[in-house]
This record gives sequence, structure tokens and C-alpha cells, in this order.
Amino acid sequence: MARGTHILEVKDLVARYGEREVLNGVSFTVEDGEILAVVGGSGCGKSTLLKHVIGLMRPASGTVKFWGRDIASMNEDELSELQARIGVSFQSGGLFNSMTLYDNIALPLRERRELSEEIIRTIVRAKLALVGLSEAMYQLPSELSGGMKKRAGFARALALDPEIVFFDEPGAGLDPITAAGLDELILRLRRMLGITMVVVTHELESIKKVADRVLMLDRGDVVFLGLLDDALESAEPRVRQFFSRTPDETITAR
Amino acid sequence: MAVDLERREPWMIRVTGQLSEQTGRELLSLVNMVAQAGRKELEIEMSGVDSADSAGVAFLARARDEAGRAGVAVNIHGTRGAALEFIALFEKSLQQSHVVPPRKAGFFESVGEWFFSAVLEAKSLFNLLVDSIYWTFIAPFERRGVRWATVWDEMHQMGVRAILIVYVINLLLGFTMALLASNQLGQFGASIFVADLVAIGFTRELGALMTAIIISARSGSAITAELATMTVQEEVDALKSMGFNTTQFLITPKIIAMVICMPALTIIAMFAGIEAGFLLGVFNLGISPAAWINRTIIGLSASNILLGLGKSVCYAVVIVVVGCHNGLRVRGGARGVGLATTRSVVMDVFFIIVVAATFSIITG
Repeated sequence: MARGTHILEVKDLVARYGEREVLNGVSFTVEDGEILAVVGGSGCGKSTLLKHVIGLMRPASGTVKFWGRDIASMNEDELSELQARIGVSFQSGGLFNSMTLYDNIALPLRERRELSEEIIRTIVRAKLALVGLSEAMYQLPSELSGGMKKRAGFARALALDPEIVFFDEPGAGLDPITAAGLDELILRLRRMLGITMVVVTHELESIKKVADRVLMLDRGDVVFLGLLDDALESAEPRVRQFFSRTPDETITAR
Repeated sequence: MAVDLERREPWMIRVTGQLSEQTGRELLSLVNMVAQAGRKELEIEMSGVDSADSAGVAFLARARDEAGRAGVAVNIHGTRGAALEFIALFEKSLQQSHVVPPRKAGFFESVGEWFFSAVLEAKSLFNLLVDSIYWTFIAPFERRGVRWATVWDEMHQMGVRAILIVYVINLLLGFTMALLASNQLGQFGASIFVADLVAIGFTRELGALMTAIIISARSGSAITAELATMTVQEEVDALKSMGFNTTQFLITPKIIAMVICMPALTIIAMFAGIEAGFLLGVFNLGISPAAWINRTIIGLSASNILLGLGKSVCYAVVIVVVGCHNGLRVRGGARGVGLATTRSVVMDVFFIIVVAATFSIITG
């Protein structure tokens, strides 16, 4: 099968929860080395899109292709192999609460690779230092602040040197300083490791800072897909409303 | 992709291609070999490396450390491009992090810790018991209010819905006991006394005990899981912040419901056990129903029934207080909830037996 120039290609993705259609035909591609921001208001289908793309949910119709291969046609082993090349950082960290940070990050290395514990320790130390959590190596997730959990989630997403990383709401629920720090971290990771990233977010500042391109969803439809600068200048009413932070009539009228 | 050793002066290892797990391994074993050969100096030439991954760089870092320990001075040069950045990133981060793993406690330390935590836990369990008794049995009479809607709901959950299982289990236990006793007593031609035995056994001990064990497994675990999840998700903190007393809000309705339901269920259990004895006596041992009922009535006494019901009230308090205690002191997330629930049921059974034994000693 021919390899495309893009890492990820999503075509006409339709997702349903029961009768309700959450995504009605979403198409986009992610190019090698770019940061794509998936934006939109609450409940627009961002998280649903993410779950479909990383293979947690099966689409009602449409295709999701990584490196030119449709994930729907993969068997369990192939999908698992693919998922090892993808890093996902979950909204609330997704850390295992019963394990120390060290074990959380060592887990994929122990399960996926055959490395001695000393090599694993070196890798874990490096990954934790990368996100500035060296000191917390032997702490449990419950002993960490929200921002630290999120950074630990980053570190775990990076454990297996993924080629593409998905961040679900990196800044949500964090103070502006920590959130800005995470944006900085995302840029630094890309600069140093050349990782392709998809950042799902609704934080305007964060989008402006990290994104190369923007995919905007509104009620399950793509209303904008293009460069960040074009998004900021766009004449499309929903896009303009989002980027100028104009409230909805329905909310203000009350 | 290769790792080669050149034996010129000083010895040099040339790495080309990708510095991956495989090349990293080869590099490490070569460096160890160089160290064993007693060389004092080693160069690692990296200009042929175009990419690297974590495992590869970790092997490189380790190779350098081991060589350093063996007294070999290692010079790494020629790194460039993405590999350079990657290696630099690792180097920098490894220098920063010098965290020692937490020390494992020694034997006496752990014994001491176990002892103190047991004392502290006993204290908090006792506090909760006293608090619960105040809020359940005293506060309502000081017009401090009870959430009756919740009590009603809990009675349905913990009491009404347990009727069938309590009935069936006690029926089966009644059969077992009557059969066991009739085998023995039958040898003396005293089968009829099985009726007394079952009646006394179920009213005085077994009805309440069996019900308590069923309910601790059924509702004690549920109480712990519910409160533990609430604690983990900060719902308990939210309640406190709104000025609610957690004992009054969460525990009292459960205790009231349980204290009402347990004796009721125990009566069902007593009936089920005696019924099973009757069925076995009449249909298996061939004793006339009238004679059996007659003996059963002789076996029944108000004091035994009241004793059984009294115990069941104590069991009810034990199940709720132990369940809430374990739920409220949960640590950690999902696993913590599981551990707390397990602990709760084990503690329930233990304290139920302790209470039963205490009653037996007191009442002789």
C-alpha cells in the first residue's frame, strides 16, 4: 500500500451515540511534524472525534487511516502495534492511581519492550525530567496537583517514543501560568523530538500559541480547516465568533 | 545501522544509522569489552547517526556510566541533527534528576507502624461509632432532623430487596441443620427433639447471624463502595463545605434503615429456618405435623426471640459503622475503593462473630 505524505487521514467520519449523530462526515489530514489544533465549543464533538481517531470507538461510517492504513481493517494485534506508535495524553491524565509515577511510565516500556530495568529507569528518568517532574518520581498520582498530573500524563504518552501524540484538553482546569507552561512544553517537545501533534482544546490562547493549523468543529461539522492565521481572519460567522469570544445570543439573551 | 570497533589509538567505536535499542545493546557490550581490555580512553564517533530513540540513548548513557566506573574516559563526538538534540535532551534531564527511591521500612519499623496504625484506626472507628450513635439515637430527639426520604429509600434497597435471599438461604440452612441433627438424635429415637433444636437455634443464634452475614456481604460492601467513591470524587468534601455533618447526612439514614430492617429480616430468617425444620420433620422423618408444631412451640421462648432480635440490632450498627468507616478513610483511586470494600466485608464478619461471642458469654 502506498504511503501518503500525511500521517493521519480521516475521511467522512460519522459517529453516533444511539440515534444522535455527533459527527456528520468529518474529513481532515494531519501532516508530518505539524501541530493541528482541534477546536470548537463544548459538546461540538471534539472528544468523540479523538476517541474515534485513536481507535477507542468504531465509526458508524467513514475511514481513519494512519500511515495509509485503515484502522477498521486491522485486527487486534495490528491495532495494538499501531497504538504503540501513537501517544495519547488524556484529559485528566489517565494515570493509574495505584502506581507511582515511575511505574506509570515504566508500564508501557515493560510490557512493550524487552529492556532491563536499569535501561527503563534511565528512560523514565529522562521522560519525567523532560516534563519537569523528576522530584515526583516515586509519588502516587493522588499526591500531585492537577497540572502535575497532566504533565505526568504527557510523560507517559511519550514513553514509547510515539510518532504522533494526541493531547486532550492540555490546559483545561489549570491556572494560566501552568497552562502556558504546558503549551511551552508542547512546542519544546515538537522542536526537540519532531513529534506530530494533535491538540484538542478550546482555549484560545493555547491555540494561538501552539497551532500550525486549525480544525474547527461545530455541532459535528467541520466549519474551518486551515492555517491558524487564516482562521483568525476568517469571515465565517461561527469561526469569527469563536476567535473573537463573542457570546451566543441564546446565552446572553437570558 | 552498525556499531564497529576500530583498534587505533585511542580505540574508537563508530556508530552509524539509527541509535536504537539494538544498536544501543551492541554499543553497550562493545564498551564493556573495551573496559575489560583495560583501555583508559575510548572515543565514540557519532557522526554517522541520523536518528535516535529513547532506548538507544538510554543504552548510550549507561555505556558511558559503566565505562566511567571502570576507569575508561569516554569521549562522545560528532553527534549532529535530530540525534544530537535527542541525546542532549537526555543528558540534560539525567543530570537534573537525582531522586533516590523511598527507603523500605525495616522489620521493627513496620511492626511499629502496623501497631500505631491499628491503634489510630481503632480510635477513629470508636469515634465514628459514638458519633453515629449520637446522631442516630439522640440528635433526632433534639429536633436536629433526619432525612426520612433517604431512610425510606435505604430501607427499600437494604431491607425489602434482601428478603428473598435471606429467606432462601435460611431455608437451606434450616434443612441442613435439621438433617444433621436428625441423623444424630435419630439414633436415640429422639428425632422429635430436632423441632426444639431448630426453634431454639434459629431464634437465639442462627437467624440473626446468618442474616447479618448475608447483609454484610450485600449491603456492607455496597455502603463502603458508595462512600469510598464519594470520598475519592470529593463529594464528601463538598458536603462538609456546605456545612453538612457527614455522619448525620450519610450515616444516620443508613443506620436507622438498617436498625429497622435487620430485625425484620431476622424474623423472616427465624421463620424460614423453623419452616425448613418442619418440612423435613414431616416429610422426611414422618413425624405428625401437630406433634412437630407442639414441640416447636415449646422450643420457642420470648427471651430467645428477643435475644436474637437484640443481636440483630447490634449487627446492624456494626455493618453500617464498619462500612462507613472503611468508605470514608479510603486512599487512592479505583484500587483504593476495591481494597476498602474487601476490608469492610472482612471486618464485618469479624465483628459480627465477636458480637455473637460476647452475647453468648454474657447470657451464658
